[in-house]
Amino acid sequence: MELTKTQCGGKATFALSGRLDATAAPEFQAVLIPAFDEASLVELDLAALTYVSSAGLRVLLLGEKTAKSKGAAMPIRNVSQEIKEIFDMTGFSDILNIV
Amino acid sequence: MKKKRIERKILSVAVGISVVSLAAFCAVAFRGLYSVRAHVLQSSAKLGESAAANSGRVLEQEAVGRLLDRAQGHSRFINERLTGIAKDAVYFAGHVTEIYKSAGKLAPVYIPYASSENNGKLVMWMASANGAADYPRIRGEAGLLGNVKPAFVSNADDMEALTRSLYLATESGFIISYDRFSDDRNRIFDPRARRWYRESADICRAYGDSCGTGWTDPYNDASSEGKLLVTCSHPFKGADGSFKGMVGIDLFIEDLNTVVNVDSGKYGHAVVVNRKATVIASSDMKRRPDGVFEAKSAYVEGNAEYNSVIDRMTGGESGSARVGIDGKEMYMAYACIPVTGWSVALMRPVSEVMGPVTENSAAIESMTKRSLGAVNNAIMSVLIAFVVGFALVVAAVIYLARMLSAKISRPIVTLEGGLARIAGGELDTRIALKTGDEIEQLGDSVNAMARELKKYISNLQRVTADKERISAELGVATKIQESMLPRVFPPFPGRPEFDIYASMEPAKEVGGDFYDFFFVEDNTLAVIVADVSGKGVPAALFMVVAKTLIKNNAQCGWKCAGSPKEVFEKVNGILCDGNDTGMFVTAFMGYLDTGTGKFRYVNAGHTPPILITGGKCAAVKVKPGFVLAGLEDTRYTEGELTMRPGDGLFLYTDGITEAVNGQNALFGQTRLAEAVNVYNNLPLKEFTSAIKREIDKFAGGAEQADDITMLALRYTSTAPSDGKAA
Repeated sequence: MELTKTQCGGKATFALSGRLDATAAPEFQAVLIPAFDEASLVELDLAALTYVSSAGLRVLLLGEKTAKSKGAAMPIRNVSQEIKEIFDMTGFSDILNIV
Repeated sequence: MKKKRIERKILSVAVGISVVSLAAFCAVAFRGLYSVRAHVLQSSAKLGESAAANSGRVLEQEAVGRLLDRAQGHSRFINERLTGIAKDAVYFAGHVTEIYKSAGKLAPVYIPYASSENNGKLVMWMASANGAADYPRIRGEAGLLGNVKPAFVSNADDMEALTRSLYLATESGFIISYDRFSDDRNRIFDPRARRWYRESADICRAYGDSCGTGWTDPYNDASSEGKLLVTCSHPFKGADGSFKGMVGIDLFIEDLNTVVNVDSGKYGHAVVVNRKATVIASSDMKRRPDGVFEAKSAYVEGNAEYNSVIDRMTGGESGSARVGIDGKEMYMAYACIPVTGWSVALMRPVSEVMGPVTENSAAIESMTKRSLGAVNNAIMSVLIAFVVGFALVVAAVIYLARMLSAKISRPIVTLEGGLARIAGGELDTRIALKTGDEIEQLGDSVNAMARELKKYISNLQRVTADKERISAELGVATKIQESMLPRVFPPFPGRPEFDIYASMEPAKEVGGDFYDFFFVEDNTLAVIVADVSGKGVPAALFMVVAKTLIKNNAQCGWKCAGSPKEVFEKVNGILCDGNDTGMFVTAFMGYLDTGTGKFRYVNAGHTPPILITGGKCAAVKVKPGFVLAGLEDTRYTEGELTMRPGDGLFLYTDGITEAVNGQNALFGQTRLAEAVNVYNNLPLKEFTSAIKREIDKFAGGAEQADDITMLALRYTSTAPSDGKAA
């Protein structure tokens, strides 16, 4: 997985590409969670993401929970059809802020 | 072996370098020597040639100069003698004229006629044209002229040396002579008939005073015994100044020959010629067979070169030339004899002159040979010195290189031995080298390496022990996990109305997937497939919690939790409480009424199972709720379907659909549905094995990324369950 972070004032954007699986998830978690210390808006761009495993879902869930606890928001953009299916199947569509 | 190889390498490099440099040095030296040799050869040859040329020129100049000097000496000498004779002739002629002038005062002196009794004696005698018959006619004049006797006799000394005969001859036809030829036969003699007299007298008669001293060509006469002679003549006059006769002095050419012959041995051939190119004297003048010397022409027929020199001689010139005579090269020097206009020439063979040059050339050549021999010897001795030096140097190099290589290779061998012991496991081995160079450093490094190796190995042993312990513990955990899942099939031998088979294959030692089935009530069979996020020990621990919670809540029956929906909502609430790690579980649970085939189910974010009914596959649809342990107060929706006898349900985790091959392609639900269709008729155990084989085939050796869990349920009939339920 490749991860690009751009910070602009109180808004941070993560662009993810490749597979967000058990190998990539800890790395993603290590940068996503601290991002809420500096930004009130953490945007995820999943345009180039091809796969999300349950470990990846766990990081997204942790991110969403962190956002909620800190009064921040974590909108998710450019969700492809494949990823959307996973989100639907696991019920994540209901709890994530997919825009 | 190794020691020898290093030694040999050092040795061959050292020997190679020294041999190559020596060879190069030798080549350069020999090149130099040979160029010196060539130079010696060349310069010797040049020296020989130029020395020969120079010395030849010098010798030639010297020889010709000397020859010319000698010829001029001869010419002066002969000229002096002849001048003396000519002066005598003039003197006697003057004396005779004086006698004529003193005719009245002088007493007559009567000279006897020639007589044989005086033959051979030096005496005065006379003769006349007609012998004694003339005497009365000439008596007066003869008596007067007899007064020359004292003068003639005073000349006796010369008569012994050069002059043969001294005489006077008169126009009146008598002769008074002083010599040794007094003979009866000579009484009758007319001088006027003689050529020497005639030629001069004709001039004197015709031109008076202008006639002078004359010299005849060589000739011989009756008394000369074949010897050639010449006559010097001078006219005398009477008291009245008229031509009266001539004084004559004969001399033998042989006397001149004696002069020129002196040199013939030393300077070769000598020759005297007169103006008519007649040979007057010559060192090789010979008598004819009749004993008479022949006056020959000096010219040699066909030898223009020589003849032109003769022409120059008769022309009164002095000089030198190089001519060929009878095929022999000669130097020739010639000088004029002024008094007679004669010329004397000396000839000397060139070979005789150039002899020393040839000798000189030979000497230089032999000297060159000697010096060349010396150079060759020098080259040979240098060669020998080189060979000996070469051998010595190579031997020294071999000896030194052996010592050096032994010095270098000994510590290496020590090092090698130490390394071999370390490699053999003797890590306490230490290499003690005190060479003070890189090899000692290497030894220290090896010692350090051995120390580090020992430390590392002990660390490794500890780590390995730890790992083995963990591995063993993980093995135990796997066993525990396995034992938590129902593994005995068929699990309910007394319940023929359904058939069930399940398997879980973890990606790591312990997995996060689990399945479960148990009876909630007599006719209600619960089947569960769940997947904990993540893998390994954390997932396994979470799985144990989740599984236990679900089973406990479900088995307390309708009293506690009631429907599957209520079980999940309750378990979710418990799991969420204190879930700091953010782990969650996707789970599918269904309750099968074994009597009616009615199947109520709930899905917490799990992959929907496949229903096989009437030989067709269909996803078991229900709106999936959120995962367990995700969010508190999550509400779940229940679905319901009815299984007919023969229908099947296939529950699985996303380890199947998300299995990847080498190209990162997913196995997917389509492939899974096809495989399910194909193998649907097999007994459940073989069915699950076939599905697994398909997955493995698809993955093609790619590592299993996630746990693979399958649960297959087949509903057979309603009949027995009714019986049992009753």
